[in-house]
Amino acid sequence: MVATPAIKATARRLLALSLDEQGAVSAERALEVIKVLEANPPKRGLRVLLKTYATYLESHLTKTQARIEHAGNLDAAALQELLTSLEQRYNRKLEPVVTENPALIAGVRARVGDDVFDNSFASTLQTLRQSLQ
Amino acid sequence: MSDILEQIKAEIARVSSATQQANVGRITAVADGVAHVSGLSRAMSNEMISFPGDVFGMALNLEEDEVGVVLLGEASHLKEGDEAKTTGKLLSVPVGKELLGRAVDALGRPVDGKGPIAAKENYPVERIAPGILPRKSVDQPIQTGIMAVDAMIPIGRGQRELIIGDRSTGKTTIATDTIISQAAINKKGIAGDDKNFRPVYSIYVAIGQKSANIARTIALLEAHGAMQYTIVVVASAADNPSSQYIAPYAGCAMGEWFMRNGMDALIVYDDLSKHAVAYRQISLILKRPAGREAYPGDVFYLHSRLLERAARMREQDGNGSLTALPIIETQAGDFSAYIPTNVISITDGQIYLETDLFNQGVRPALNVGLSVSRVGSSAQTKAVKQVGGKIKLQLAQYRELAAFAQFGSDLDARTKSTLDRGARIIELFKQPVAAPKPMEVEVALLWAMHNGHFDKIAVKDMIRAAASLEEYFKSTQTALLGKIAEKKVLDDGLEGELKAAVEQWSRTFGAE
Ligand SMILES: Nc1ncnc2c1ncn2[C@@H]1O[C@H](COP(=O)(O)OP(=O)(O)OP(=O)(O)O)[C@@H](O)[C@H]1O
Ligand SMILES: [Mg+2]
Repeated sequence: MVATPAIKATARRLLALSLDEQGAVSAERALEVIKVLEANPPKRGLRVLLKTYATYLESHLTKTQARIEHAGNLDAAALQELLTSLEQRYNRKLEPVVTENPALIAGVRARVGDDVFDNSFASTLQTLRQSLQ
Repeated sequence: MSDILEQIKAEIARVSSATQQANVGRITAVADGVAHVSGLSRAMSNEMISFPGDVFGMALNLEEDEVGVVLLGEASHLKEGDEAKTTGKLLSVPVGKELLGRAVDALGRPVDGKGPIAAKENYPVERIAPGILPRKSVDQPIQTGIMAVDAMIPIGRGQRELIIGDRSTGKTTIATDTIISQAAINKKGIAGDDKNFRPVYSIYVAIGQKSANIARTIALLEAHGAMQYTIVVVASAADNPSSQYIAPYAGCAMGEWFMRNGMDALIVYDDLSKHAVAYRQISLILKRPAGREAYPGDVFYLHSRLLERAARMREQDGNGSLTALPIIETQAGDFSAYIPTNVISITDGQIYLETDLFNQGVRPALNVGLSVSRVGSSAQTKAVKQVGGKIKLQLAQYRELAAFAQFGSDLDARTKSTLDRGARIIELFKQPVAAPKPMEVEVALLWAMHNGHFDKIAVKDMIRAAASLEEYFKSTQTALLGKIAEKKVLDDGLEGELKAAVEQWSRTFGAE
């Protein structure tokens, strides 16, 4: 089922209730919201509402994070340089979340919100393949 | 070999030098060829969105936190959670003469098994129509080869003429006959030595039809040598609504290429009723608010922005043209329904076909009273206008008086002659499928009618007589036909020759 405008509006309100004073997602508040929802479920569409809420939570979270994946070595200095340039670009503090991802083959892929910056070899190959089709 | 290697190396250097930047999202729901994608906050309207497995879609609905993407082609493997990515490109299709003779899908990919298409250019499927300035009013004819249409509802290059009628009233046939007529004219014109000859290329867009019907249409065009000047864009009833929704815009982009390169093209949308239904289905999935007949509020814009793209360009803008023949299917003759009224208001006239006439054997089943061409008469070939100008009025009078016909002998002489003439005109205008007539033949036949040479022929013999006269002209009067074709206007000399020829034929036909 697809979320109706009404469900989206409710999910947005739930998200607002899940943020702390600084506008960041608060795990404590989010869990509270879910508890309240569980105790007073809407007549219908609970699943869709929860799903939409989760999507909003995640998308909000990713806006305040810099999710950095890398294959091979990524030294502290390079990481700091990348983070600084992203923070400058978005003009806000970003929390780095670093993971290793061998599927990239080599290089780095960074994600802030739904923007992706990718200089990995895997993406180069992918672009190459598409341009030669 | 080393060439290819160099090319690949250059390509690698190019793509690896830049960090790929994209905007991504995730599928939250997917059904009926439409994906709801969260994220994609930087997607543009009509941007191509890529999905896993080389599936592409077009961003249609841009909302605050979600984008509705219509998926093109086979996309059944996509599921919730899959990643979607912006491409920075507007949805485009290949364009150019390389597509002539081919059947392609809504993305311009071949569906006829005749191998890849080496098109050199791409055009976006959605494009703003030419403004008022570069346009010119319609002043060159499109010869449909259907005598009733050319004589009474003339169509000009750059015009938008609606073909409307109930199911199975011959709508598609009007369009395919016109395409076949263009092919015949092209063949002759290209072989001839007129340096100013302008061929007309055709694009036939099949929307929501059964595959068997589409195959039949292609076979018909093929059999009459018309495919070589034609592109067929296929989004059949079996394709998802998204492909059906995109197909006319894709076909239009292919037509625009001809127009923008100073050539003439003709595009048939068969049909826009099914197109509107596909759009309604997509809108339903996208949860857009629905209005009249459950169509979304912007359904008018759906067809207006498509048909606006047909135009005739000024000399200094290349002199090209795109003529559009949209088709609408009515239910029980009701052209006041929502979609028909919308399209009627956008087009420059309509060819209205009627079930009753069709069943009476009047084919093409043209309702003369309800059919009009609002701009075409300024484009009509002079000679046709000279001999066909009064026919529409004569037929209208005939229809009014026909009710009295049952009183037979009591009629005054003038009424009777109007009835006699009308009955013969109707017979003259009966024309089989895929037998378009050249302009000069139409002129000869209409001249004979106009000057009373059929008056002595019994109505039941009219079809035979007209066929005999046509055959006579084609076999023994080729020089005269050639002169009419070249001059395109009847002067006293030509009329004299026509008179002599028709009188000679009358003697032989009467003697049979
Ligand atoms: N002028 C004609 N003379 C004889 N038969 C004709 C003529 N025009 C059409 N037909 C026949 O009538 C049938 C219906 O024609 P056509 O497919 O053009 O109609 P349509 O209105 O497009 O139908 P549909 O609603 O199925 O799209 C076909 O079998 C066709 O061959
Ligand atoms: Mg049809």
